[in-house]
Amino acid sequence: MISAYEGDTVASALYASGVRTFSRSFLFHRKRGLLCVSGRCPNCMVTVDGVPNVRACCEPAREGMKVKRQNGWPSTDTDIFSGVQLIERFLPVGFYYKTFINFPTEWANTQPMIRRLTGRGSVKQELARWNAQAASGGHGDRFEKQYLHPDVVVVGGGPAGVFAALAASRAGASAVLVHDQPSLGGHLRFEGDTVDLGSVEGAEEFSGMRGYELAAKLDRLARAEENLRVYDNANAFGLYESNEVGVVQGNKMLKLRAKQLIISTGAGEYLTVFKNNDLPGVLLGSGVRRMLALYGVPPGKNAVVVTNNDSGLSLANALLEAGVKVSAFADARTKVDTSSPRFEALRKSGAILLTGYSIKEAEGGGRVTGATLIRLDENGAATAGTEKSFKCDTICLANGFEPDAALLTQARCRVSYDEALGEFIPSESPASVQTCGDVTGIHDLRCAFLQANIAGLQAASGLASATKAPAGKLNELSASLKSAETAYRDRLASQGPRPIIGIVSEPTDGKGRKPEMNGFACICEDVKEKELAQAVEEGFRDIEILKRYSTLTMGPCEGKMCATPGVGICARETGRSIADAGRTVSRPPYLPVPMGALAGPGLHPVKLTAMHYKHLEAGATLMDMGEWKRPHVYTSVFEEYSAVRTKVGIIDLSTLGRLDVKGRDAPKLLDFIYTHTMSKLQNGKSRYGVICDDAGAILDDGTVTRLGEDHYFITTSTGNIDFVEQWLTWWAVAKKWEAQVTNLTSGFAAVNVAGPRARDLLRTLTDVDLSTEKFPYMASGSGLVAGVPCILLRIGFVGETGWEIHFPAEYGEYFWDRLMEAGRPFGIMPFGVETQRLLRLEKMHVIVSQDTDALSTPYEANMAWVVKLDKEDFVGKAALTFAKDEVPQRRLVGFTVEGEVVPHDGDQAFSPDGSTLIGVVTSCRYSPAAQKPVGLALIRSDLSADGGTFLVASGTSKLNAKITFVPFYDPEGRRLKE
Amino acid sequence: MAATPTPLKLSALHHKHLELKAELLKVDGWMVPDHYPKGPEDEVKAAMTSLAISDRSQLGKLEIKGPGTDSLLQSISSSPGVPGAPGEVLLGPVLSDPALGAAFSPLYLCKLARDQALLVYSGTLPPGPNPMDVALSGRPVERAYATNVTSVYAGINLSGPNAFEILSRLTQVDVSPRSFPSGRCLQAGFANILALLVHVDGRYEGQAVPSYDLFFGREYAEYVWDSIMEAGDDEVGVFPMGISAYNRLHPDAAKTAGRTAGVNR
Ligand code: FES
Repeated sequence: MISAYEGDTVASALYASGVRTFSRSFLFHRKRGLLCVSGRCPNCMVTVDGVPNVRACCEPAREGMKVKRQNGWPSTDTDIFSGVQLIERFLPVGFYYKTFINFPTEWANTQPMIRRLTGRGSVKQELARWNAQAASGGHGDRFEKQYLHPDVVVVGGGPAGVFAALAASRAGASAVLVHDQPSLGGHLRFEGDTVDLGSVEGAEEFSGMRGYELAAKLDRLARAEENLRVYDNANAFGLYESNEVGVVQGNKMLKLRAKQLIISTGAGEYLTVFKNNDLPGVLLGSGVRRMLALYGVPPGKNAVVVTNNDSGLSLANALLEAGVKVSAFADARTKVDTSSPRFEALRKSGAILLTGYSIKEAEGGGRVTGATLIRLDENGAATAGTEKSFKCDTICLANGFEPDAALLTQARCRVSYDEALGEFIPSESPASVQTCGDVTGIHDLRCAFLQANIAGLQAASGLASATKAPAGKLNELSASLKSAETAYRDRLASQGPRPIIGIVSEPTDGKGRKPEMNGFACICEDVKEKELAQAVEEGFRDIEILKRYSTLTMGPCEGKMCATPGVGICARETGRSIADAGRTVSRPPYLPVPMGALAGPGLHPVKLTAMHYKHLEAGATLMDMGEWKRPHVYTSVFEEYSAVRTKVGIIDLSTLGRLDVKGRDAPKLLDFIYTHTMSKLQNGKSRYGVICDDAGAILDDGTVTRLGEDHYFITTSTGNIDFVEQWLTWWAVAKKWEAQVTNLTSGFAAVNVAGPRARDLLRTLTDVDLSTEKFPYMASGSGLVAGVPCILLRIGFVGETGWEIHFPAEYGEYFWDRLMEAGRPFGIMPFGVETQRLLRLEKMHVIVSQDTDALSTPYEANMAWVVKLDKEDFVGKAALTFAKDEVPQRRLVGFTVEGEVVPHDGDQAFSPDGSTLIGVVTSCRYSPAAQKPVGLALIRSDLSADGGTFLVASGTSKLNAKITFVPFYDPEGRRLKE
Repeated sequence: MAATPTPLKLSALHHKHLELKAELLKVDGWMVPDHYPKGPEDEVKAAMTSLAISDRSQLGKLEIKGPGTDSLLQSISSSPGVPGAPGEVLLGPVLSDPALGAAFSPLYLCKLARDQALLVYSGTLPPGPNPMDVALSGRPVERAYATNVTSVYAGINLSGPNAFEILSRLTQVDVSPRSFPSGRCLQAGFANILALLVHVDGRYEGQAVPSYDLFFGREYAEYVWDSIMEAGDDEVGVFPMGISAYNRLHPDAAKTAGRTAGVNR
């Protein structure tokens, strides 16, 4: 139980209550404490309310939250796996690539163990929570996506980002600013010095106040700006095609399509490599500033400050102000002017000031107890014998910044090393990308203000909605920037060289012994300096290959702590300059993104028919058919079957695809698409039709009904409607035929009323003449049924007298109710898809794509009668003409088996002697009419003679199947036509 | 054949309305929510402060396609602006043939493409021999094909200042008022299905009310309604609104809406 103040993060609350070890390291299980305090390193990742890998230093403390440290057993404080350090020499660099390469089976055994030892937290708890919520009817975690298309997207909420966003939106652009902090202002939020932005126009508004006051003002202004949306605690994790910025804000994912992108992601401090540089108590200077200024938590009682730039001095003073003793202050530069009042204050406090010094080693077991400092020579190399030791509990490292350049490289900016600044900075940017602030390597607020205003105006300048910046304004700003930047660079130059790019190399002892190089280059994956040196020795000299081999920069910090030290080591070991060593390229996502946020809300479209609630009322069990929900069975297949065969049944066919085809070339189009001739179809008649591809394989089947000279009504199978619609439209366009295809699937509901009493039932509801003479099999008509305008098709998929009735969907429930009421005296029952499948199987009616596959031709499916080769060209004609005279490779046959066992759809078929696989059972059910299992199978045609046999392997049984081509029910089709 | 009562038309959202305990009303033969339990006053307030969702499935929809589309449009309406340019929405086109006007009153005309348009109306078009046929009076125009697609599309209206907020959570297309102002329509992916978005602002006490009609396949209606409701959250509330409140916010639509029967229950 830990208490927290308003505004505390989990980390600040824990730290204030004495917790120093926040995690165990990935490989060696070393204790790790707060380091960056800004969400940029791996050290403070904890499990919060079951969600693993939450960064404690960024997570606001909330009442009742459950925080668990991860990776360490039995606990993070006492971890028995920390013994892994003792077997370090068996875990060389490139471990994964070389250790198991010759013993794949060993790997299989060892991998689970490695997983147990390494890793970051567990998603098991998370899953359990999900399941619990899902079981209680909740939706688990709620994820959200949003798509915005602002003119300008600014990434980074420091002063430069806010200035730029204000400039752009005040110029009329719609702007979005995303940043990863709860409030705007960046480092100004913990800056007490008075800000002076110089005498540029527009700067007065912001000058003359303290840093944190300016931060507060910027925050206010940005939120009040009408054209500007600010997203707090939001991480831009990658830049994709067309300037699309991916942003994650908790469980929400933002996709921002920016016309212009302003990158002001700032710069961050990185780790310096030296012995024991990972001990809890070693902190980055900017992290310490945050702890002091944002949470009022001092990092310790007694600190040593190690720096190579101006930020170290203000840090040391801030520590003093907070009552922390500074034992020693080491500045690696030799030409710093130590006469300033700030140095004076340090001196007065009793701190030892050392110039030309840096750090050699952090002392201590589980946490820092002291620091050994060492003198550097003019090349930055440590000089043996110059060591000085100091007792302390905190070591603050302020050894330079690295621009947060990931977005820059993704935005195709050229990033190169600036010798004078000692940083990789953007040197060229595409026209749609602007940069400003610390990310440019210039750590100067005046410059940032000018850069930001230029960036904002430039971004807005090309937009139709924006007001033009007054002529000359940009030139004026650019001129001011130039002189401000020159002044900044001159000042840097006057301080002499800045040694240490991420590493303090150990002194050689002159006796040729190799230095230990035990410092951690990468704290995410526990890669040591010596391992990088070894990798270079093994030939991995290129920085990109070194990265892949050693896993440097591939951990959760994504290189923020280790990229620069890694380059430093690589350069030293390969004898190249930093610029030549180069840097690794960052790819999106460069921050960890929760999978749920990527997936977004569960938007899975569901289609319901207009009679859906009637089915529920009738107790139907539903099945998925694509996006549709369809009744599978209402009561039992047997009852439903009997109703259809002996009385009357009704099935919802609303899911069938329906197309309306109009236009003077409609007959031509349908002749071209269907294998049958549709132009000769009489008005008011229907025809079964099959659509084939160029190879003659069946694509879909359905009915075509002629409603008028140039007007057809088509049904397609449920799953193929979109395809058939596109197919028809595409061919109409390609052939320049005038035929308009309209998809009416959604507009109609449909039922099939079938059974010996179907006619009697319908007669009570309609005046349409349903007699066999007037309305024979395959005829169509239209008229009112139960007062509802309908299209009636006399079709017999289930093999009984029946009508397929299509009517406007809004009448669905009404129509269903009328039919059920009127049908009661006739013994009506609704039937589901399963019963329909049995009924049609008894008639050997084929279901395309169930009884056929992607290669089946109509000849294989015994449907030669649908192919009319005597008409003009149609899709598949050439192939079918050829196929007609060939013996097909396979053939669809009917079969029966004796006995109780009913084969399954998909069971394999073998030759009678059982030696050869000859095909597959496509459908099989127990037939009440035949009193035995009946089915269809697609088998080799040389073994498909009528009356022949084959074997069906179903489960453990081998069944004897007898081939037949005679339907199992009403073979002459009398009932159908009655 | 026995005499049958007048068939009842139900929107695909009917069971949502029942679940929400809506007071129903018959409009053009359709059962439509007049208001939900909180009442029209509250619904207007919700629309003015956040976002209201209403079922507009009962609107008539006539699709006109083919190379003769523009001629057909001009033959049925002489309003200035007809036939319009793709992406345009023409409000309240006046019918040239008064006989036709007796049957239905056009709300707006969406020009979807060069040779495709959707006329949205209230009332009932005289039916043709088949359910989706329409009998448009006047000379038949060559190479223009009209289909009554009223039943095909369900319709949902979103009204209120948070409309953009919710739309942008469900479509990837730029629907910000800058790029998609009132008087425009577009077809876009919406909640992973295809929908037609029509932006026609309403007006209440002299103030414009952002308002969007969405049309999509009827079978998706409950899914779309749920997706919109779930896209809302504590900050951006989405509240159901009946036709009574809707008409107050959309006086132009109200003028043309024919109320044909009283409250149902
Ligand atoms: S201390 Fe929290 S991420 Fe570095």
